[in-house]
Amino acid sequence: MKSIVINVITIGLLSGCFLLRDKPDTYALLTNMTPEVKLEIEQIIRAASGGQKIIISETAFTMDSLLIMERNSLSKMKHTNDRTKKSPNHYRLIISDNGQCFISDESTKLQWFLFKSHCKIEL
Amino acid sequence: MTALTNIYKGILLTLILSNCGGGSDTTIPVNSPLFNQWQKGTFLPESNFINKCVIPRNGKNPVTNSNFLDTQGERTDENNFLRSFSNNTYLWYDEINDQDPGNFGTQEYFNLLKAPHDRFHFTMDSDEWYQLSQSGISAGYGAEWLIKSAATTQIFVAFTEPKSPATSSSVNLQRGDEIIKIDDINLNELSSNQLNTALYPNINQTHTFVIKKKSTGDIKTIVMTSTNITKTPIQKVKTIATDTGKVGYFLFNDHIATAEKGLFDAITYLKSAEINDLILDLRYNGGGYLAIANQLSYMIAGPTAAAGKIFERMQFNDKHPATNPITGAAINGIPFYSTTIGLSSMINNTPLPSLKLNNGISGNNRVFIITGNDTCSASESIINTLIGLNIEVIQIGSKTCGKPYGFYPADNCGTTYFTVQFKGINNKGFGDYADGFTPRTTANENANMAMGCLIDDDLEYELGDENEKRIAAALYYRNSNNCPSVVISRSNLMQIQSTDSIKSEMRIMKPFWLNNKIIQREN
Repeated sequence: MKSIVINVITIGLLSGCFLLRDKPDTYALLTNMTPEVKLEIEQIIRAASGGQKIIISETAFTMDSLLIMERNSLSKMKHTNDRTKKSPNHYRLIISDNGQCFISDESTKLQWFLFKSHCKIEL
Repeated sequence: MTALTNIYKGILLTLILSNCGGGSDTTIPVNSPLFNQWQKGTFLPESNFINKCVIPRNGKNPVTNSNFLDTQGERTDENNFLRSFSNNTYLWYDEINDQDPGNFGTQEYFNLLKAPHDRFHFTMDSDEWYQLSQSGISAGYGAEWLIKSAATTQIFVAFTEPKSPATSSSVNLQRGDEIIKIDDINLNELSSNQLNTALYPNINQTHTFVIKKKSTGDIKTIVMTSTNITKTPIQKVKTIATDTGKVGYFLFNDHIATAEKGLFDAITYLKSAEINDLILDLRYNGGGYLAIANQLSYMIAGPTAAAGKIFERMQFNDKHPATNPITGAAINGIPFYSTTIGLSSMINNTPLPSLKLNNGISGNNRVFIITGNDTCSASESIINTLIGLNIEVIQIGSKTCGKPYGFYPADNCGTTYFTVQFKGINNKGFGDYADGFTPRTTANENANMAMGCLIDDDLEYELGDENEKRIAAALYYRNSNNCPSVVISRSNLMQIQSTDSIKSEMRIMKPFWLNNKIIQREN
């Protein structure tokens, strides 16, 4: 488990820089969701969330720039009733002026480069 | 939400570091030979045993983002943790038959640490519990199944999700369609494992179904491959024009994070349409975030009715009348949320809209709520909360599942334990609906139950159709303050309440532990 977490965090560190940007974000949508891109996103979200297992869909960031992640597997826990369960994690796909795609953790404002992804401005 | 987050920050640490009490005497030193020796009715605090594991974990706890605190222990330590934890926090701790923890495996022992009537006692692998999923995403075909199990099993489509394999042009499943065969095997020849595998598949599983179409009676063979389905928790938002004004309707299926925006949009639309009555369809809603139930209750009741009132209050066992045994915080009522709280894509603190609904015969605002056997927990909280605010709830449908209880998941040594620790009570102090909410038909019955009509689910019509029996009954009641003649008889109700006949009710099939209230500790 430890090695997995270290590997994931290392991948996150190596695949992108943690940035704090001071200008308003431009929200974006993915234009090339492929298995490789999905894996890259999963690795980043996993690193950002402490190494937990991650399940995202093939349509993540393709229709909405916001990705909402909830604790526990909805496939098995969809009707688990909790009163004040931890707030979901929010991740935003953003695009820089030169077309570079980032994922931003909306709670920490940390940002990760996406190297295998192409994106466009969300209208 | 930030405030809420802060309230729960450090709860895990509190649990770990604090002596949570609960023992009759705490003076036995750890190095005493009596320390691990069972004495019936004598309990050390669970903090003496927590994180002492047969197989200690290394690495980081993804919840706390700090190292696991596990140390080498024995099976008896793990069992003693459960024994003391249960004695301290279990809602019905005085109904546990105290047995020697040295005589049982850990899972076996946990299974004994419950009251005989407790239906909500389960464990999960902690890695699975900690897993994160995209909100509203689950593997499947995009069809929700209704299972009718009596002498023979029948499976129908309850509803479908848009843009899913179930609604593709070649498949086109519709409410009421019936499964005849799966993978060329008749339903009643399939094992439960085969049924589960085919109906609730992991991703990228392909199965063949023979379907009897409700609309034509035609037999059709379809092939579906499971994929990640995006759930649409609020569907079929509409208004129904009547001679006495517009009636709003929507189907609310899941209290998931994305529902915050869906409900905001639905209520905003219905408010702008100037409806004067609302039919809220919760028949397949098994629950989820209580915060969502809180917001929806507020939007239905409105700021005047909610002013100075509580949404819900937790009630723990009699050892903890004033203090939450897990958080150490004083037990106060949970206030209503009058704004968005950041669960969905909505900006935090956006004021919630509210409706202006007609008064019922009680003279108070009225709402019609459609229920079924799968209407659970957070959905039941909406009913209980509104009754607690003197909103006139007219319940149309069948008995709800009856889960006023909740728990804090407790991770020890890689297993997360779910044991009932509290129940939720409304503004009037009522929370005893373990048998579910059943519509009462006379005013002199239990005033904590809603008035209304017992009506079967109706697969002949689409959800949202004015001819669907439950919707039609709500509209009929709105005009007459009476139930239509198609009601289920009271004698049938008694049959439904018996343990055997519940199997003859059509239900959405899911594991028993999926319908519980859980409070998630925050890091």
